[in-house]
Amino acid sequence: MALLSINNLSIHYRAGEGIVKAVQDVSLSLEPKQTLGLIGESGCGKSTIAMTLLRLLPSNAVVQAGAVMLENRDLLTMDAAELRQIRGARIAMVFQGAMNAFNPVRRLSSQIVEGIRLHRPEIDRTQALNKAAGLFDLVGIGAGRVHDYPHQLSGGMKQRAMIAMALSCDPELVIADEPVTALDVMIQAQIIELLKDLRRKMGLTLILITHDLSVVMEACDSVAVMYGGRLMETADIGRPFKHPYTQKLFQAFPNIEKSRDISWGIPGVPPDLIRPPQGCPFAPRCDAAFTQCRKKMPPMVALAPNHQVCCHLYLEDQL
Amino acid sequence: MQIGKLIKHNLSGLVGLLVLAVFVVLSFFPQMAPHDPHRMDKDKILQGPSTEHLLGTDEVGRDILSLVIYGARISLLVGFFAAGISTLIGVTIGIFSGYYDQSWGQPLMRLTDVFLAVPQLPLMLVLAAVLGADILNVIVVIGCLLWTQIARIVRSYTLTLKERPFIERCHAIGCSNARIIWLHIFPNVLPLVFANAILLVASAIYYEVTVSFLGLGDPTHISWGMMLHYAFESAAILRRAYWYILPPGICIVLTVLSFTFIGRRLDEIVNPKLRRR
Amino acid sequence: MKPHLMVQDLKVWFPFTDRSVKRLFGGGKKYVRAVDGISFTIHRGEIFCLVGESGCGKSTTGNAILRLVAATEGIVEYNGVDILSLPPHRFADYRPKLQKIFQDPYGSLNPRQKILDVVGEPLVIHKRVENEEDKRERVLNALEAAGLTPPALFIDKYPHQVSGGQRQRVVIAGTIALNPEFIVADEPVSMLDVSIRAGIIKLLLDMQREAGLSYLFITHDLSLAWMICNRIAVMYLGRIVEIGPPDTIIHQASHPYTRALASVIPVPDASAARRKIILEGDIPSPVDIPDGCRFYSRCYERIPECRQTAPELRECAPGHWVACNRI
Repeated sequence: MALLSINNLSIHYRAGEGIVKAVQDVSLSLEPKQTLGLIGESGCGKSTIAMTLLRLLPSNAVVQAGAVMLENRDLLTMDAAELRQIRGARIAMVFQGAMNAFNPVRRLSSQIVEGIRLHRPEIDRTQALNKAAGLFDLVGIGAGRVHDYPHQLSGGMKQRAMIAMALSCDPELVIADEPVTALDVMIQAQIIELLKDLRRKMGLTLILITHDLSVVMEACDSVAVMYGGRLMETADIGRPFKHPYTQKLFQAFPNIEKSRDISWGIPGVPPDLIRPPQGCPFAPRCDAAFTQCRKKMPPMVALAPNHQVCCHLYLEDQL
Repeated sequence: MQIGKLIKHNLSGLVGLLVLAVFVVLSFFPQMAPHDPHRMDKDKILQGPSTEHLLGTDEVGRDILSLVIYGARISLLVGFFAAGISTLIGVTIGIFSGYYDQSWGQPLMRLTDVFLAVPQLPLMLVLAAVLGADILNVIVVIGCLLWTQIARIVRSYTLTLKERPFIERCHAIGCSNARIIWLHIFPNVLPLVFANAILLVASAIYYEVTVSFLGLGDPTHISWGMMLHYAFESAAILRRAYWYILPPGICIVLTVLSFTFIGRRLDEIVNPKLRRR
Repeated sequence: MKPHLMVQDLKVWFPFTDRSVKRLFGGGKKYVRAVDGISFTIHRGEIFCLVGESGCGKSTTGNAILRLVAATEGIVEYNGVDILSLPPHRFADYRPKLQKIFQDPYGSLNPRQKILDVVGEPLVIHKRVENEEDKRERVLNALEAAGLTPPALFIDKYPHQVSGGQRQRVVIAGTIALNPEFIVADEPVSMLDVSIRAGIIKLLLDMQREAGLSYLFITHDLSLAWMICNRIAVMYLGRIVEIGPPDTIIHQASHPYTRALASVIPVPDASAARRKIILEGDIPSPVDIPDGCRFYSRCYERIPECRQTAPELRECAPGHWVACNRI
């Protein structure tokens, strides 16, 4: 059975200028031990989904429709007490800019131990400390640094510490929101290797949210592509991309294995989420768009058991 | 239901605005007062409220209600102008000490520290006594001592503004320092200053009341503070002449509160934007 | 042919206030040696890339050349004139020719200025326009040249009313308006969405072709540098470790740091089987730089000599320079 199941989720924000339809009718599922990469550019809705999973949305956000099932319980209808049990223990999150997510005046050991003992009061301090030290070894910082203050660690090490903290309560699912975006390319490579390593060693179930397709190609086994608040394509890594947006995105990254010409880039601007277009949100910028694309939102079509596309091109094929 | 929501959200600020509007109108149209405030009537000394004198009379027979209405004008005037002078001094010193932090910003900060360390009220009283009891002196004295708070806020904001990329761009395109301060720093500091300046008016009014109450105000211009001073001098409390003390007292409280509410609400509106940046 | 810009032995050191107890007992003055002796030449019409990780000194180099930060030592010759030693009022004449494009499109515009004034201000400062109408017309032309069409739609807007990519074009329009000759582009696209980047890059390349501009292109993205530059210089801890043409730097680098950096460039194609050289640890602090080669602590090919001798940049092949003791 799927570990996490997002069913027809729609989320709106109430803003001064109107209602921002940040996420519309998104359905995703995650099996245990699967790493899913959720990618898209700014404004596509991926961070909103991440925040929804842990109910960390701001007060002006409204869940318009849909459910988020963690096994058989809907996260969206849980009360505060149940949520507290889930957060950190069953679902853990690694935030973007994790360098700043630590309390600067407390030692890392005390922060991690606090988290462990909150969820497992039966574990005593010494055991929790040993666990924290072990995690620091696992993520490559070294057990000796567990009593350091956050400022004594470099940016890359703080990110590793954040991952260690996320793992400290043995969560079933880890959500990483742009975990490598603010880091140098060498540190990025280190963290990606770490994530791959953890996947292998621990069978980590991970949702990795990022705008960088190459990170997802390396560290995940499947990818979900979002644009304008909607899901465009979900596929296992290795299958060639079929959606025009995904294909364009793929080409948008300079590829040193190929030639040096600049044919990449997508002309135009992202859609206005307050007045989203009637049909497919990508139609105004799509080379292959035809009349139907602008009139009606295409349904999700399964090209294979592990490959779905939301595009009229493939609907036509089916017909 | 947009208006309903607007009112609910800004209730305290709107109430303050309303109360203030009443006093402003009174100060512009003091002719509304039923009697000439300076007219003394020795037959009607310290009389309680009656149909002729709605709020009673003072110890020389003047109508309290008229005095209160005319007093509004003086108190508000002193408040505005003193706050205006303070804001001017505070913004100037704040921007310069922030922008030139490495050079003469430091001595400017030390100057601010001196003014902060000196107890403000005693200094005001001493200056008022030395300079003489004139309304202009009162305004200037208060104005020259209240600027420190704004100076500090403006200085720290200027320090952060200075590091923003658009200021670096100004240097890159060849802006002179004067141009940067006037066209780039100052307009961005203004919203922050506005809210604080309103709060400063509340402070200024309060200090005017205190200075006048202690007898150093201008006797030719009756302010609420002066009324309280005369009330005290004529032992109004002992003589149970509550109608002499309560009206000016309540007006002072209402005015200061209204400025505080407005200023705080403005601050809330301006600040979230600042935090976002 | 005389080079357009020549940098020689540039050093930018920032004094470091050390509050530790050691200082109390008279430990010498400390410096953050952000740029510690670099030299390179840019030819007219060339796009020269300065690449490196954070803290390597690439942005500081750009700022020192434009005198936005004071250089501690060194010579920067622009068309043969040492611009670092000019008095400020003489250097002011050079500002229109030497322009900068900034990294942060959200912070690099004054939120209280209309786009008309953002782009027009440089013209006013340098007295290139006579009146308001003249300024408006010049700004409209610049906005059009920067790809913001129709320009009338943008000219009266405020920065927060346009998107990130459009803001960056506004900044570029501001530089176009002055007819620059040399542009320092400091991470011009790193804060923009991937699909928007190409448009800005194409604009910069078009400008280069049409006006014969030279660029100092600063970026941490080696693949971007590979794609658009004529030559790449790789910096590490304040010094240049290698200079060469793009294909050489990516595929045939000599310096171990360059090779490691090139090996971890993300490639979207998952099937590519590459051997990644992942360096351990982090970049050391630019305060206490040891003697000898700066890369010694992380180098996987070091020899005993590297500990004492700091290598100089030497030409190991035509147009290919390396600073490594092993070469």
